[in-house]
Amino acid sequence: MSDAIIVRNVTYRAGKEFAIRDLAMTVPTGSVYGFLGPNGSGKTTTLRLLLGMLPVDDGTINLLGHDVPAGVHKALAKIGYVPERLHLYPQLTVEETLRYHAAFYPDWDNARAEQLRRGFSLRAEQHVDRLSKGESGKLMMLIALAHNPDLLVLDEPTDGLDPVVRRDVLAALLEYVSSRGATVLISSHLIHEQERICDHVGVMDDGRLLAEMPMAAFRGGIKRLRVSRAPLDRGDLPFTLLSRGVSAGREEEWVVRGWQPAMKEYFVTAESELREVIDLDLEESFVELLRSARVPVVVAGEEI
Amino acid sequence: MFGEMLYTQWKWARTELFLYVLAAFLIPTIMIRIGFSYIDAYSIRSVLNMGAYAGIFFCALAIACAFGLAWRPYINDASLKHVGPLSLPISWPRFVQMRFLAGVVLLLVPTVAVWIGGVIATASAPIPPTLHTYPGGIAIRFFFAALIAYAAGFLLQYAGGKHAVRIAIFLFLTVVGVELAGQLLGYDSIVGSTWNALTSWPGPFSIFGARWMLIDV
Repeated sequence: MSDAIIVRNVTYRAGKEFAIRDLAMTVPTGSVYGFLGPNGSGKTTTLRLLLGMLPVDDGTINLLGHDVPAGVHKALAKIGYVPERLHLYPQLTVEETLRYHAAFYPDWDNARAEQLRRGFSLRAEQHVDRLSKGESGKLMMLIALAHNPDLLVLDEPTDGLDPVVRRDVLAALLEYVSSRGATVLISSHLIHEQERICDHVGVMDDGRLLAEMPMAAFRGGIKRLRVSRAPLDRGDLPFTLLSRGVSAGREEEWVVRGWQPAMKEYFVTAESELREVIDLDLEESFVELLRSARVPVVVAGEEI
Repeated sequence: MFGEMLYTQWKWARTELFLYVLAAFLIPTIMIRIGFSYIDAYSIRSVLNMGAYAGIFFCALAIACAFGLAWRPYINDASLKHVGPLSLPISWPRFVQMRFLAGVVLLLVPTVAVWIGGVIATASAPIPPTLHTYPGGIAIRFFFAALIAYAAGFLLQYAGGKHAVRIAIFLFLTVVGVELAGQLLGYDSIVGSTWNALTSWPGPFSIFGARWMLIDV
């Protein structure tokens, strides 16, 4: 099996306004897949659809070789999930919470759970409702890791955590991933964090997956070009034009996706001049991608 | 798995269970003790009335206990938007089934208290020789009444979800409305007839209409 998650043509409507539309995504086994998107773009809904918590209206989902929803419970036994918000009973202590979860997972590793608990400095007798936000985050990560999952689905796992706790949580995650070769699907709007740890990326906006590609391709494939005597009304672009704006005089700034150095030739044949190719960091690339999805570029009278 | 589910529900309900147990122990004893100081202990009718009051109390306690145990797990899960249960590797029907069964097991706690409370209450009263006490019978009746009320409450809560309270209020208002309309139109009490049908054999709530006598002939 080469892909841990395969989603095809999934549609989900929640009320009249919001929908996940024709979602298709593939998370390769062993990858750390960053799921990027602004707040309200549908990331959490997508994760809940993947885990069978919400019923899809159309399309198919396969998780670790099991179809959702028919085989989702077999898949869930091999999945560690950290939801966006605390999902633990506040009346229980840390120890009781671990015991409760251990009862449901056949592969729960008590020794590992204890090791993580000590590593995260969580007191066994402490009540969940008295944990700080950081401690709650650590406990949720502990529960996700303690049953040796093949797939981790993490919904904003470090959101709101201070830098020290965030580092602890990510260190535990990366240590686990490197030792087990587990797959990770991590949703976040903390782009720089994703840039450090992810090797694949999917960008979502308004219920649609705008792009999905290896991180290296995403980081290196979106460029800002400064073009003099920019060609007008040409529809034969060898790259995807994400945005186009006047920079100074007759100079234009283009943001393009799928850029390759050999594409410089295009400007020669178009009798214009490519003055500079500027690398964008992940955050700039992400913003440009979203902007282009919301405001389509018009070339030769047509939206592209 | 079931053990942990039971423990969790026990932890949520233990304070109110303690109050039910306390009530089951103390109130019949207090009622009978105070009652016997006002009635003629040799008047069989007075003693029977006293036993009936204690029975009504047990019936009310069964309903209170049942609804408390039925609602609490759902409310606790709903406060976390059910994310915890839904992310566990068991199906929702199985999860709900275990929640239900754990509640049934917890009903045994007040049931035992009712039995012991009944024994203590009747042992402390001068019962005329022609009458008998039935703490065991009351306890069994209590358990089945609580079980029926618990099942109804649980069904309402889990089928109605977040609308359960609204459904309950709607049902109550419907009952009141139907009764008022019936009275205005000169019909016999519709609610009364329905209540009689439900609480007399073979109605589902017939156990509530049965003789709840702690002291009887």
